[in-house]
This record gives sequence, C-alpha cells and structure tokens, in this order.
Amino acid sequence: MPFSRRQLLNNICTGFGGLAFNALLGNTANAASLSHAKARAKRVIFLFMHGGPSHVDLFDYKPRLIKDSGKPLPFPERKVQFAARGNLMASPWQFRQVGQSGAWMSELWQHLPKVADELCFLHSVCETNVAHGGACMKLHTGDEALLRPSMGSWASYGLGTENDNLPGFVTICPTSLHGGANNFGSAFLPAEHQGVPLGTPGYPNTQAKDAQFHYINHPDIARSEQALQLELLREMHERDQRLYGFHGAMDARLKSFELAFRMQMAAPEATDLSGETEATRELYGLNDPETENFGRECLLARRLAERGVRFIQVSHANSLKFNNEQWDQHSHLEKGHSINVRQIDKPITGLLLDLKARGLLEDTLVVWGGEFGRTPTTQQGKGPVGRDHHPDGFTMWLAGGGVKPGFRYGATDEYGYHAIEDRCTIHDLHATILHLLGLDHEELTFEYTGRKFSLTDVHGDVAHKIVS
Amino acid sequence: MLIDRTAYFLLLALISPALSEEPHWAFLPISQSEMSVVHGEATNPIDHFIETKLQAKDLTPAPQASKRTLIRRVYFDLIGLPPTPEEVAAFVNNAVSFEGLVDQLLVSPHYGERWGRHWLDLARYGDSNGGDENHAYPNAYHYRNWVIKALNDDLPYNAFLTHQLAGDLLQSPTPESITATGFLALGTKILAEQDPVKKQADIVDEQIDTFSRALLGLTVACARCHDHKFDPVSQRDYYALAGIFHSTTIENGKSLETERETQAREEAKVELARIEISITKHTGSTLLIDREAEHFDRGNVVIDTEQYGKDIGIISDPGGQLNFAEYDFNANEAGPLLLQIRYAAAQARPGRILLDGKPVITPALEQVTGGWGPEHQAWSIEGILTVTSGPHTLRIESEPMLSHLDKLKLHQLKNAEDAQTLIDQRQALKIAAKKGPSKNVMSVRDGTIAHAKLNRRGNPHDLGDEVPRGMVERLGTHHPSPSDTTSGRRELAEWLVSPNNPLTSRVLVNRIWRWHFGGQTLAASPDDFGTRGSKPTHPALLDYLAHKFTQDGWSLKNLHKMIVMSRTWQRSDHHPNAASMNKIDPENTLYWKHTTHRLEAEAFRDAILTASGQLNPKAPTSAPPQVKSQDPSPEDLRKNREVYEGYPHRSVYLPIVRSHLYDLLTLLDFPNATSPVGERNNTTVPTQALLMLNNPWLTKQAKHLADRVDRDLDQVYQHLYSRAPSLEEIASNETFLQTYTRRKNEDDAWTALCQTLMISNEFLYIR
Repeated sequence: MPFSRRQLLNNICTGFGGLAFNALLGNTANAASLSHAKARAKRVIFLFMHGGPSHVDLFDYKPRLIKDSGKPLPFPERKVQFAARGNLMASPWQFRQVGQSGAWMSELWQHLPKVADELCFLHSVCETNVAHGGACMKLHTGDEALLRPSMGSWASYGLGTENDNLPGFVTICPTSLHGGANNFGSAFLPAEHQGVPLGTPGYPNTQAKDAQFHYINHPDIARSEQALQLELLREMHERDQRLYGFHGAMDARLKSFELAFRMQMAAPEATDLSGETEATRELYGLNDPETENFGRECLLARRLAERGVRFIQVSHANSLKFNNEQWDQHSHLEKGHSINVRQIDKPITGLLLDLKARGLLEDTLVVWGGEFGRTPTTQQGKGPVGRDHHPDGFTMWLAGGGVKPGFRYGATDEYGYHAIEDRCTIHDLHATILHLLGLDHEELTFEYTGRKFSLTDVHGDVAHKIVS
Repeated sequence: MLIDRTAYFLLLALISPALSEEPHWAFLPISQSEMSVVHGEATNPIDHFIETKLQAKDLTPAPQASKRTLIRRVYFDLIGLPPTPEEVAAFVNNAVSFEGLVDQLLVSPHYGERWGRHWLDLARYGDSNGGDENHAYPNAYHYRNWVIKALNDDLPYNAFLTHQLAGDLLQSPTPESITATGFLALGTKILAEQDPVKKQADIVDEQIDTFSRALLGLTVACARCHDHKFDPVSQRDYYALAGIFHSTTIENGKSLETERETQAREEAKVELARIEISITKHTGSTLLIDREAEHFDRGNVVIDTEQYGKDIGIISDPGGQLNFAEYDFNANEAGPLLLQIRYAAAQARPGRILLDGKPVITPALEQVTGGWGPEHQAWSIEGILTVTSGPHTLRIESEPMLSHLDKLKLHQLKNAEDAQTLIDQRQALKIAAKKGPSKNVMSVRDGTIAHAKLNRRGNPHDLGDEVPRGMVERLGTHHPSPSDTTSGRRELAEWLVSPNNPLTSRVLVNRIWRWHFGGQTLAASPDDFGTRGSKPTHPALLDYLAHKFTQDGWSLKNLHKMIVMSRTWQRSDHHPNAASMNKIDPENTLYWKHTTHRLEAEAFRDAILTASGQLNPKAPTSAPPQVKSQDPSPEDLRKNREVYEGYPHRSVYLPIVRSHLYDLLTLLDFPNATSPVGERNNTTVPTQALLMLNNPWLTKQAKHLADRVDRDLDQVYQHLYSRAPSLEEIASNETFLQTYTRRKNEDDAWTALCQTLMISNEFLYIR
C-alpha cells in the first residue's frame, strides 16, 4: 500500500465525489462536522452580471434621486474613484411596485415581475473594490488581490458532488477578464473542486451554442476503439500489481480512466438541449435571437442542477459594441442597460419558473448580481450619459434555497449611495450562501502553509434575517 | 557564533508566551553535536542516519533497485529526461559506473533546466501578471534563464539568494546579478487598483509572502494585520521588512544596454528617418487612394468622431473581433504601389493588409506612436503592393483590436526595385532602432528610502508607529542594520544567509531532499517550518545536511551527489516483505524502500517528446513564443494552444501565462505560478484522464513514435520504458493490434497502441 494517508486525503480522488471519499476516511474537514445546521439549499446557480449593473436603474427606487437630479451629491464622493463624477442623475426609467410583495422594479423589467414574489433583495451589498478586477475576484473568491479558491470550489469542497460523472462546480461560458480563470479556480484546494468551464473562457465569451467541456471526446478515435485502449490499460495495471504489489495512487489512476470514460457519455447528455420541449424553449427565450444565448446558458444551468452539480455559474459577460464589458455603462446607460435587461429578463424569469415547476427551486439557491453597482451620479465624460463603478452600496438578489421569498433586506441612503441598513459585505454574502448550504463559514477551512484558510477569512456574518 | 539552547529557550519564553512550553525545533540553532558520530566517511552519512533508525527497529530495508530502474530514476531525477536506449544498454552492460553517470548528469546543461524549474515553482515564475489584468511580462524570461544558468554553474546557494534579493546592491553589480532581482519583481499585482497606497502595500505584501515562504519556510504575511498567532513573527517585524521593500522600486524593463549599444541604436534611428524620406521620394504623382480611413467602402469597424477622433474622425474596433475595412480603387496601369497609413497607437495592435483577398503585407500596422489620441497620429510606410490594371480592393484587417486609423495613401511608385531595397533596409533598421542587442530585464532597484509605519489591522490608511527597517527580530542572531541611504535588501540577504539563521539552510536541504525522494521530506511541511508544521522524522540528519551544506560552500551539486550516491536513495521501491513492512511503517517514514512517484508535468511532456523524437533538446536562443495573455478570446486561446503544442523545446521554456496556463501542464499539477510552491499537488482526477485519452497532440506524438521505430514493438518499449517487452506483453499487444486493425487499419492500430503505452502508469510513474 505505498502511499501515505496524508497524500491520499489531500490528493487522490477517484471521482468528483472527493469530499465524500475523504469523509469516509475521517478527514478533519468532513461534511458531517461542517453541517452545523439543516442545509436549506443543496446547490447554487449564480447568475453573474459582468461589468456592474446599475442598482438605481433596476431595483433600488430612490425618489430623492429624482427630486435632486442634476444637483451635486450633498456629501463628498468616495476618495478612491475609478473616474471623475458629475451630478446626481435620476434613472431614465420609471419604477413600479410588482407582485404581492410590492418589490420595486424599473420598467425595464417586463418578465421578472412574474416571479417578483420569489425574490429576496439584498439592497445593501457593499465593501468591495472599485475596479472590475479587484471586485470580480472579491465576489468570486473573497479576496481582491490574492489567489484564493472560488466560492464554487468551497461549496464543492464542503459538500462534494451528487453526481460522480460530472464535476461539482461548472461555470458556463465564463469570461477571461478580470481575474479570468482565477475566479473559478480552486487555488490551494484539491483540483477536483476547480470550476470546470463549459465553453472556453474568453473575451468575448464563448457562445452558449458552442459550449463544450474540453477533451470530452477524441476527434478521431471512436468510443468503441477507446474501450480497447482502456482494456489494455487495465491489463497492464493488473500485470504491474502482480509484479510489484498494490499501489494506491496507480490504482486510483486506473479508476479515473474508467470514470472519464463514463463521463464522456454523461456530459454530452447533460448539455444536449435537443430533448427539451418547445414550451421549455419558449420559456427560456430560445426562439428569440436576443434572448437565445443567455436562455441557453440558463437552460444548461437547470439541466446541470437536475443532475447534481453543486455549484453552477452562468455568466452574462459579453461585450457591447459601444461599451466595454456587458454591464459597464460608463456611457450609453440607456442603450446598454436596455439591451442587457432584454437579453436576460425572459431567460431568468423562465429559469425561476421552470425550477419552481420542477420542485427544484426549494433546494436550489439562485444568486443574481454583478461585481458592483453604478453611481447615482453621472460619470463625467463625452457622449451619451453613463454611470461609474459603485462599490459602496448596491443590489443583488437571491431566490429559492431557503431564503425568504418576496423579501427586502438592507437599504442604501436616500440617493442610493451608501449602504446604511443591514450592510451586507461580500464576506457576509459568502457566509450567508454557505449557511444556506448548511456550511458554517468559520468551520469550512483548509489548512495550507501552516494556516487555516476559509472563504470569508476572519470576516463575515450570516444575514440571518433573510433565512426563511 | 551559536547561542546555546537554554539561552534561546529563555529568550523565546520571555518574548512569546505562546511558545513558552517548548522551544520550536526549527528556530533553534542548527545542531552540531550529533555529527561527531559520522566521522569515518566510509559510509555515506545519509545511510548512517537512516540505517541507524532502521536497525533500532530491527528492520531490513529493500535491496538496491535494478540497474534499469536506477538509470531511469537518476536521469529523471537529475535532468528530467529519460535515458536513451543506448545509454541504458551501456549502463546495464557495465560500460559506465553509476558514479560516472551521476557526474555526467550533473555537468549536463539539462541539469539546470530540471532543477531550475524546481526553483521557479518557489519563485512563482510567470510570463504575465495574472491577477485582475493579465498583462504580459515580456522581460521575465531573462530571470528564468538566469536561474537555469546559475544552477548549471553551481552558483553557491548563499550567493544565489543574495543576487535575487540584492543583486543590484552588490559591490560590483553585473547584468546577471541585476537580472536575478527579477525574483522580487515578477509577482502578481492588482494593476487596476485605484488606491495607490493600497496597491503599493499589496505589492510589498506579495514580496514579503514570497520571500518568507520560499526562502524561510515561514508565513510572515499573516503579521500584516496582527502578531503571528503561532510563530515568533510580530506585526512590527512585518513592517520592519515592509520598510525594506517599500524602499525598493520595481522596474519592468530595465535596460542592460551598454553605452555602445545605446549609441548604435540612436544611429539606427537617424538612419531610419533618412531612409523613410528617401522612400517617399520614389513615389509618383498618381495617388490611387487618398482617403480618410472612415470613408471605407465596406467594414465592421466603428467611426469615432467624439473621442479619439474628435473633429477629424478615425476608425477603431468596437470590441474584440476580427476588424476590417475595405477600400476600392482603380489602377490605370499595372505596377507597384506604396501604401502609407496615418494612425495612432499606444500599444502595437498589428494586423495585415490584403489585396483582392490575398494577404500582401503581414504584419502591418505595427507602429507604436505614443498614444491613442489625434496628437499621436503619425504616417507609417506599410509596404509595397503590386497591382494589375483594373479595379482592386485594399483590405485592412486587425484582430481583436485595431489601432486608431485616420488616413490612407496609396501612391504609384516610380522605381519599385530601389524602393523595395530601401524598404528592406528599413525593416532591419527598425529592429536595430527598437531594441539594442542586449536585453531589458524585470528587476528592482532602491527607491525612496524610508521606514514603514505600522498599518493598524493591516489597513494602509490607518497608520501607527514608524518601525525601523530590519529583519525578523527573534530569528537568527546576526541582524545588520540598513544604512539611511539603502533599502536594506543587502543586509536582509546577509541575515538570511548567515550560518546563524536557523531556517535558510534547513529549509533548502529539506526541499532538495523532497525533490529527490519523490515528495518525501525529512520535515514534513516544506513550506512551513513554523510551529504548525510537522516535526522532522530525522532531525539529526536534517541538521547534519544543513550544516554540511553551508560548510561545503553551499554547493547544490555536492548535495545532490551525496544524496543519489547513498544506498538509501538507490533502494528498490518494492520490498520482499512489503506486507509486514507496510504494517510497521505504512508511510515509509523510515525510508525502508524508495517511494514510487509520478513524473511532473514538464517531465511527462519532455519524455513524450523524447520518445516521439520531436524534442529539440537545445535551449532556445530567443524569447518565449508569443501567446496572448490579456483578455484572450476563445480563438486566442486556441492559437495559444497551437503555440504550446508546436513548441519543440523543453517545457521549462514554454511561456507561463498566468490564469491561462497550458492545460497539459496544469492537469498534471503544474502550480498556478502566483505564489511559491514547494510541494506540488499530486492529483488524480477524471479530467486528467480525459486529456490523456482525448488530446490529439498526444495521439500525434504516438504516431511519431510508431513511425520512428517502424512499428517495432521492442523499440517502442525501449523508448518508453527503457526495457524490452515480456512475452506476455508481446502476445497481449499483438492481440490489441489485430483487433484494432480489424476495426480500423494497421496505422491507426499502432498509433492507438503507442498512445496507450504512453499514458500507462509505467510511463508516468518512476520506481
């Protein structure tokens, strides 16, 4: 048995169910000891809005901003800014209250009001970096500068996977910008917890219709022939063991080939949308060129969720011809945000309705948001008006997975500038997501270079008020 | 000068209550007392220490490994390449002794490539920034080359470290010693951080973290916010070190050009300007195109009249895409034409020019003009096209970004041959004018010298007391004070390599041991010698080696030789009584056998290319091949892959693009290249198996192997496994070939067989 227990625990994973395997051997960080409370969610779908959606134009209704539009902000702006700012600017869109819960949404949203009563708004997300890179890394990994495991990796590490033939953490059409692969990397956590991209990361990102897992098949060798190769590998392994005795790591490697072979069948099945009904295609907006791409991403997310993938990220992360990153409307606010909402409104609504209809919403936590919001003030510059990056108070929302439906948590000041009530830092958000998954953010640690690391470092408080 | 243990204990107890129970072994002076027992040098001292422990437990270790195993093991160990079938035969037939082999390998240039790569793990070496913005580090590779050369030269480890920390501050710095300081410069930085104070503090933090973990095996960076919870590192210590690094400036492209080279470059610039004027003198009066760039006939570019093209109008890209603009023109007569374009570019965004759909000037639009705005626009001679009479289309392409194009001129040329000669001359001058023959390196120099102030809770805007620049107070006994006029890096290096620093040599010999013993260490946590790390299994041996190493002039090659010449290292990996031995010591902490281990990613790639005959074993003479690091599109990543897969040199020379590393390497646990790694992971995951089964590059190598040996099974086995196939294997492989051939054809069958053998455990594991 020539391998050490420590090596085994840290490194060998015969499938993607790494943690369950570790737990059986009594690893220090095993699932049983981490599950402090009843898990409310079994999986997460994170709808990532790259570039920074404007909370004051989408969900955070501020009458005072309308009243004082054109006037200077009555208090000093933050010291560290991305660009020079102008005066306050009312949203170009009307707001109205929707659903039984009376949630505020701007008129941009045409479909989302249908599921308004499922949403739990966090209006006080704050304390992140003012630049895309730092803020993206903080949102995904908890740290804006150092390389840390992604929250999806922590979830996979904490809970393992429910499906040995698929990765525990899949990121659909990720961007290569602003941290790129760092945002779904496992850093020092064992590699099986790394986010596996469905679609090569890129800028612009891969179109959903072209999204594939890498190396999922051989371009020239058919599976029936590969079966011969596998058989030969098995035979060689057996001969090796006969001569030199059992070797744990080598044995695990042979098993990983067998698993890979099974994955080659499971993965294409999971990502094949051809079996979806016309009603479902319509629900996700697959029949409209404007919503098709994001609709596909959302539908892929549902299929992966159904098949037991623990953490699924969906990225709305393309570029617009007149701007940079998808939601980064330093200028062209009206044009950009109109396009962006149109692209996601129907697909996201469809996803929530579909999850609900299939009974999946109950234990699937859906998270919507970008790396920051946008300033209530304009950005000084030429061309159609826009807003700058705003890390001091912005809106994200959650749905399903044990959160209070139709609920509003926290608030920004009367201009939508600072988060002033129930401030929810990125660390708090992470602590809360883990809590809903039944994981204690202070207990879910990994020892590396003599130190225990966690997603929230020494910070983070669970936002208990939002738990249903 | 060693202080005695009692005094040290008292000192620790006084300062750190957390440590008062027992002094931590790694912070004690290196012990010499137990060395007297190994005076007779007849026995290799390593065997003495290891076997004493085995005898105490009445255990018999495994016998020596077979010659075939041994030669494979020592080749991969020392140079990271497999022996050729001829080299195996010579050794097996006693034509060369084991010691002779070792001596040969230690002087091979491949030694530095192998062991330099180990060091690059610790130096978190990368050719791009990683982090938020993945800018290329085009000058980083000089540091990599320096590491390889320093190891090949057996530069003593104390000098090796001193050069990396303070090569610019030596009494007489050399281009090499300045290049060595790249160690401090090539960390990941958060480039878009808008708070300059925090940005600088983060850069210093990264330097402290790399320095302390890689060289001291200690995590000092936790003390940025508070005193270290477990180890004798206070927050004051952190800011004493921080002062040193804050007084240091990073240079991303320091020129190592000599005065003569500078002069030659200036002369080339003057000559270039002269030639460009002469070229335009050859133009005739007929202008076939004289247009504003935005007046294209077809194109997918954006016209900007507000920002970069304010009032004049320019064309640019709308975001990442294949940009193009087409201009139709009519030539009254056949003949050569000179194309000139006026544009602005802060960075080169090269593209190409097509005439009637065929590329005619590649690359084009390479000029850098100093900015993106109208004030930076400049005319550039792009080249000569030859046309027939009649209508034509000129097409400009650039991907994914396009320079800011203002105007185009297409002139008839009077004397094309002369003009072409001038253009050719100009091309050479452009290179000469751009860059001297010598290099620009990433390095550091002293900046504004100042002490740092303590950052309360690590917040760089909440300042406490000023802390004088210095070292970790409670480590070592020799603490030279930096003068008021230097950063203190020189003194830091002195402290680090002082024989009284208890960590430097211990940490290093443990790392070297680990790289020789397939991941097994004397002290189990190579990157953490702090109180949270594991206790050494063989403390006396560790101290013996650490002491001997410093006494021996800090020579790595001597240390390697002592290790591989030991019986301990040469043992077989299987033991006749494995079952009972496994019960007593399942983790082999007593070294009763050699530990089987997997090839590293680079060794795997290099071994595959060696077997397929596709490796160019020579070191490349040029910079790493160009790959896209910043904001790559999926198409860019596909092209990057082509570059990696087509690169013929050893893996250590591949570009290391942080965040978008070559997956063949990362799937075999190549580190992420952003923080020091002394202990690579050793994962076995199905994605790795998918790569092995489905990577067309591997299949291609398999085909090369089959072709190379003309489908001779014996040769295949010699190349892959350094042995002949057994009868049983021959029978089984023939069955495979027959079945496969029946389904496909013989060619594919051989390729599939070779691929299977290449991805087998026997190829990947070293016994």
